[in-house]
Amino acid sequence: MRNRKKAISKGLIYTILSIWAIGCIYPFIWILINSFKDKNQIIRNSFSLPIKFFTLDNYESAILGRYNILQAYLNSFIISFSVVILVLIITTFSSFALARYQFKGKKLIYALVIACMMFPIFSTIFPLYKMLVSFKIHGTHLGVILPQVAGNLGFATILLTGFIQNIPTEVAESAYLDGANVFQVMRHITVPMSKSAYSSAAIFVFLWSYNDLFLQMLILTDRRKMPISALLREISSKEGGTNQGLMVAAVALIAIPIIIVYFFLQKNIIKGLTAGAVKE
Amino acid sequence: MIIPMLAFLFVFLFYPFFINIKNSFFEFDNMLDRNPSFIGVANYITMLNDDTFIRSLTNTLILVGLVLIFQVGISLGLALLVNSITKFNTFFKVTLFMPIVVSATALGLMFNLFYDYNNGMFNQILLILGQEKIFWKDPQNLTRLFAIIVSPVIWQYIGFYFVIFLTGLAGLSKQIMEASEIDGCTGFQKVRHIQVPMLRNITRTVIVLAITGTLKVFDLPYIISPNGYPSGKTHFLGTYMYDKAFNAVDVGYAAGFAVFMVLAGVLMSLIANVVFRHNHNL
Repeated sequence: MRNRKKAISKGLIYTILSIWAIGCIYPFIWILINSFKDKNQIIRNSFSLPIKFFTLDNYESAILGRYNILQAYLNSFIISFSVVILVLIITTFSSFALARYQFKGKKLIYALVIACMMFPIFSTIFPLYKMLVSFKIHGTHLGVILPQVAGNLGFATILLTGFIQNIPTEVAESAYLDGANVFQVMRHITVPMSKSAYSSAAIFVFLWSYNDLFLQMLILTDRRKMPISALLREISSKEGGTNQGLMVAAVALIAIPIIIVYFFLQKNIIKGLTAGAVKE
Repeated sequence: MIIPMLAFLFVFLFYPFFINIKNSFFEFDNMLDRNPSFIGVANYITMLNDDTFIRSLTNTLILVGLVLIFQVGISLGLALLVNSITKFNTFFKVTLFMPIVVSATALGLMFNLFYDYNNGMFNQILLILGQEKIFWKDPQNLTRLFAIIVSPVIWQYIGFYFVIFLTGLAGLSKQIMEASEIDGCTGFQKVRHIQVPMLRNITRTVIVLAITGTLKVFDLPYIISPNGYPSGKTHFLGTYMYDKAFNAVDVGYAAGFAVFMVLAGVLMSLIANVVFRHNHNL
């Protein structure tokens, strides 16, 4: 009796979870399937497989059309990679200092770092924009990169500081005794030992930078400089209403590469998230 | 070593914010006005009399409530379910987390395709089920319009909190679980009296993240319902701020807006912190 009850509840649990999982995957499958269909076929039956009416037209008009999506990808990567690299370099030092040194005002600095995660980009955008104008970098990639770096430093510092605090200090101490200086210890011990935290910080910063719309849309007005999210929004607001095929292909072009990368890196992503969030 | 970070934070975050605090007490004639006139708290008073602002604030607060109930609730439920099974755990973890990695822009465009009256996926499903098509974005039906804007917002981040809860559950002491089972605890009792109370500290983290995250909501509402369609009724704080930043040149007003948003975030996080006080015994 008990076993039977258990089996039923197990079955129920798996059913609920499977339904939710389908709800998470199916929308993207729908997008992928329909991106290979003629736009009239999407209208008639969006659930069929694109066997009879297989076409690459949507992709062709998305890539070769008036909008240069490949260029937008390139812009996205230039921006997001620069942000990731700058954030990692800066937080390498800040998190090492916060994790390993005792100094005056450390608590205050840590509080500031946490506080800066509370500042939505909206709260600084006007003065920030004026500042970028006076630096003459508004409308350039650098004008997006620098504020994005500032916006991501808090998260990355907290994640890395938490991780470094958990590394035993013995190895570093014996290195100091052998005459190593701080930078050697960082380079040969702390950084290599925090590899997994680095990779998850890198992935999250990359995602947030790549997926950001607000800042990119405000600062980059030249279509040739736009990264992929901003360009897609532009496409949708100009012709989204009429050309469903183009829209489906555009969504697929932005979402599918990220999903593929996600499947390869999911271990790091999920592990890193939990390392950062559960710590505190 | 810490100076590069502080420099960045001060130049690009704290300094502009302080300028905004200052600006919020002035009136600007245009965007580049060099001699704004001091008007005290007049901007804040205008704000409280601005119907669209009140609307966007109410919408955001309702969304915070919905997020706390549904996003946090569903993610906790899913985490408890996945924690109780032994097979396919990784599969569920990976799929449930997936929507987070896709940009809200792409998701917004995707949901626009789903909501489309003539060819949208939802209406096609309704037709297959023999139902009438629904005009999802009917501006007359504000409740439904609001619901279809916030549903994707809530849906997207469930996987995020789910993973955090799941890690918390994995970290709970196995001995206590086993002891409770020996004492004859049923599965549900275990959840209610042991697992949920022991997740208190993590719940607090999740709630603070959920509140601050919700205050920042922008992309999805902006794409699904541009400019608070119809006539500002579906604005959220973020989208209305953007509207102000672009279409209105009232720098002082927008600054007051910005200050208000940060204060609201800090205040709500503090409340969450007091309600779920950190318990060091856990």
